[in-house]
Amino acid sequence: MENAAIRSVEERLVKEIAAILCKDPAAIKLDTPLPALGLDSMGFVELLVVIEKTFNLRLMESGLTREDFETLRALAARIGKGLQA
Amino acid sequence: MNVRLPYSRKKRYLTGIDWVIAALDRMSRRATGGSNASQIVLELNGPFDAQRFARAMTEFAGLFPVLNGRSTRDWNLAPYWRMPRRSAEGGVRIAMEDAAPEGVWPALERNVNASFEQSGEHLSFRVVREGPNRTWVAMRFNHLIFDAPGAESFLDLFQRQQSGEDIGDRLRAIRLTEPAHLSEWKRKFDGGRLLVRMLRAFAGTKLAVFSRPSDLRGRPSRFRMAAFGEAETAAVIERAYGEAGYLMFMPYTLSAAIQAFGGAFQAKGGGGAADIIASVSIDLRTPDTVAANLFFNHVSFLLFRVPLSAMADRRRLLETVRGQMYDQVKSGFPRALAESSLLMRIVPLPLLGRLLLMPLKGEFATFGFSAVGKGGYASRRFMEADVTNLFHMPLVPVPPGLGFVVNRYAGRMNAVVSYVDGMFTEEEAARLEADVRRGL
Repeated sequence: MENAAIRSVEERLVKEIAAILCKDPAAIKLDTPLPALGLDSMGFVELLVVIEKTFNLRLMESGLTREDFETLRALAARIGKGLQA
Repeated sequence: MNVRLPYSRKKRYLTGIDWVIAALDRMSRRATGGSNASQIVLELNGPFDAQRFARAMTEFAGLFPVLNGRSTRDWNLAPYWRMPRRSAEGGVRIAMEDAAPEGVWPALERNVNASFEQSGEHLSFRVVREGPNRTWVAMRFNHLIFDAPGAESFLDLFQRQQSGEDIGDRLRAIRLTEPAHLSEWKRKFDGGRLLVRMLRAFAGTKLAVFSRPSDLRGRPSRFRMAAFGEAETAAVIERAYGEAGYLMFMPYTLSAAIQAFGGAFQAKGGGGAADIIASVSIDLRTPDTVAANLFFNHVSFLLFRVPLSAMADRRRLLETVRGQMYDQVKSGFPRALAESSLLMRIVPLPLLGRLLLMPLKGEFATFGFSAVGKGGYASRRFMEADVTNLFHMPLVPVPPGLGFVVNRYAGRMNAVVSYVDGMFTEEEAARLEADVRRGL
């Protein structure tokens, strides 16, 4: 996937996670681990639902590995892979 | 429907969830005589001046007349919290005692089971001393006034004040008003339709429910706690992330609770084609918004149904729980429940109590579950002492009179089972505690 497309996914994720956590998008850093952003199980599932609705990717059955979901940058890359498949 | 009824902007109208909590409080009082109450326990290490704490807490609680309020109905029929202009004379009740030879636990159990002494009292404390450097502070509260994260946040604010922080901005940020929500009826009815669909799916369920003693009146709740040290907690989290998936701590601990209770149910002779139903409370606030919304209830619920036959296979159980959580979040069930419950406020509490039990013919669930999130008590100190642990001891309304609460504090984890006395023998309760520990 092209860098521009990945950046667009990252921007969308920042916007969505800011909405879930009621935070200013500027406070959301791409390399901060998701738990450090304040995400718990419930918030994480809300994010997965947003990803399904936005990118048509159901990641709940993907194994949910730390490697793929540790940060928003990693998650954007995972979504990029999913969209290419 | 565009009907918009007027309301006062200065009042704290109760939400639908607050009203349901009030119905559960009434049900508890009628069943056992106890309130829909809980307590937070702080285990302290180091010198602790209980008299100084009592003075400081009395002064602090005096800042919040909301603590002495009661619910009543406005002219538009919406229930609201009538707050006195000043806090109650005499302040908050704080009892002190030395631990008995049998240990601290019985004193903590007695405290949470004790009645609030007068109407308008929703908060009290007990300090239990176990030697010069070991103290337990129990804050008992009625859920009419706090949910669990809100209660932690109240203690957190107190500690910030005690440590010299200027809490003026935090005090001003606390929300003490709530609109009456007497508009946007379509959204509420749409939420109601989703709720009815969900409840219909549960109709006809053969519920796995533990038998309760017939003479419930005056029966206290009992508690068992599995406490995990820092290394053990880190190992539990790793197992949760490995087996259930990254950040899937709640589904993992819920699965452990389902297995433990399911095992206990079968050990007591229950079985067949019954289903375990867990009612799981979830926080509708984010960690950053708890402090400003510390009073009243900001929760909703998820419902999980697992056949007893699916319990043995942990992997399948985790998939079931995760899948049900995902589907409910996707359908918007927790928000729909909160929204539609606003319509229930017109129903008087005695009738609402009966309505809540209709879908499952007099029962509510096999057990209630709560994973208390972050955003509550943040400090590692309380007054001048170190906090070595913090945990919750909730009285679970009857039915079901059985609950499981897990919390994490300072890298440690506690899993507490709450049950009405007589539901389990000491031996069964000890086995249940061991099963919980093994399952995590």
